[in-house]
Amino acid sequence: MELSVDRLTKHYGRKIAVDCVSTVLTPGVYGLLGENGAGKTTFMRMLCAILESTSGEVFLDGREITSMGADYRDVLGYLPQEFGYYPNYKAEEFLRYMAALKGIPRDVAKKRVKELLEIVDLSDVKGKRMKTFSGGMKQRVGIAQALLNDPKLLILDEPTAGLDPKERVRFRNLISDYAGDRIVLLSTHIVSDIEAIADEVLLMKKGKVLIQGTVSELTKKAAGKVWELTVSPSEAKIWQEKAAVANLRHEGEQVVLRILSDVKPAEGAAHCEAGLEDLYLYSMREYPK
Amino acid sequence: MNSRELERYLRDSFRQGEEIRAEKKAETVACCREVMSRYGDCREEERTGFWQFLSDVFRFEGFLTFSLQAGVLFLICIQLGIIEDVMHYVPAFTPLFALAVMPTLLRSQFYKMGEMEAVTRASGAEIILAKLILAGAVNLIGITVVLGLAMYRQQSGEGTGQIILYGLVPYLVCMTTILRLIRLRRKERLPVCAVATTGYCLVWGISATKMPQVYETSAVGVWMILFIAFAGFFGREIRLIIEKKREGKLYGIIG
Repeated sequence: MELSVDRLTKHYGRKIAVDCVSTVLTPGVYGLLGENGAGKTTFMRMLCAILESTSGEVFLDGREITSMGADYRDVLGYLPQEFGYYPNYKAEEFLRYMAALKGIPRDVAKKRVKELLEIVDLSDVKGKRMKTFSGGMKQRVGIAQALLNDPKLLILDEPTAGLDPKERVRFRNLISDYAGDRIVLLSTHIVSDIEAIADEVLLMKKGKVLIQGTVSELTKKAAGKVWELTVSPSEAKIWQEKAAVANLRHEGEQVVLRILSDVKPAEGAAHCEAGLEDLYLYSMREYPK
Repeated sequence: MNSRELERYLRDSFRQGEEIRAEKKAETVACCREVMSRYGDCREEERTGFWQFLSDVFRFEGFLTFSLQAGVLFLICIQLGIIEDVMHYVPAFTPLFALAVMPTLLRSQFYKMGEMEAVTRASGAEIILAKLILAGAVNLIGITVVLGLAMYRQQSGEGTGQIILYGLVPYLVCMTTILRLIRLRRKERLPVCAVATTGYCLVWGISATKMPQVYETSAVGVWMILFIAFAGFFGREIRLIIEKKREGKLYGIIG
């Protein structure tokens, strides 16, 4: 299976939300990283065919997705960034309703809903109304509904938002197990989630995909650009203004800064190992004047 | 084994004698089995048809639809039992049935479920169509009861056609307005639509006393023209929904 995106563009009046994005996604887990307003959600909504593009097309195995209609939605699972729910529906009832909309026969739906409730650890509360659920529990119901039709293409917009660390680990394991011969595209601000499960990362900025590659390929790009520098607290403030500081930690009276820079920022600075977060911050930084 | 190798096997099978061909055939079958097992179960999962879907929508939406319509019918029946000039007030009541359909049709937008529902196999058009079928069936019963009661209160068969027109025209005007707004994705105008529908009721209610000429027998022609026009507009909206459903394309307010 192959999802190819060909010069996908979306304009909102004069604002360009997605700018001529082209990529090819084959089975695997793809992480979409980018700051707020980078165009991640718009891009994902166009991939789901719920938002018309200004120009460009998306093809699934050579077929243009908007012309596929129900055949495309049949292989698609989607979790929107912000989603609602019918407050009086119980978790099980809600999933059965979504299964009905996905055209899953009742007997199959019953079995699958039960399985998914166990997977997302909501079996105990399946009979409770969703209005009584916490944010994390609602998010887990959202994840379960996206998996109902056993989608070949799974698009998850901020799936780990609202999940506690234990649930995030459970979710990461679930997606890793699930991916197999499927395409999973997920966006998140939590770089460690992407680092843990994504086979490839797409870094978006101002509507464009800046970089696409595996985590190791991307971290290599940041290699040699991450420096550690120990300074006094007063100097730390100055450094924060004049350089891209990725991290700051206090060690006794001193402050250890993690600086992203193409050149050695100061005499005492030492190289340190780069991570995906470093590359993310390095790509997103506004260069100090 | 790739497709080229498989093709070579098949070609060789045809070139050779009867016995060898049988041997090759078995070999080919084994190869195909291996390929199939590698790709797992390729059968497509069964999906429900429209009638099963309609039954599911009835299961989940039926109670809300029926209870709202029943509530409206109850209120109208009480009013019709009280007022004197029943015939002229019928147009003020039937838009209420259209108003009662709105929560069912727009529930997904109200609860921000539109986006999630839009990416399901059932397109927005299919969901709206199923809800319209359910609501339409109940509306038909409700309007029939109202018109029957109005005729009963008239105590004569005179003006039966007029009462039917007075009941159906405002209903069709309101339903067409609602469907048109949904089709044009004018989310911000839906509250306006609810207010307008209520406004229609008031205007027709006021017209019963302030504009008696509208209800004279000589005005039946105008009512008939309005009926034909709005039945046409309503039919067009339904046809567009069916077309969108067939194409599986987006319909309605999403997100």
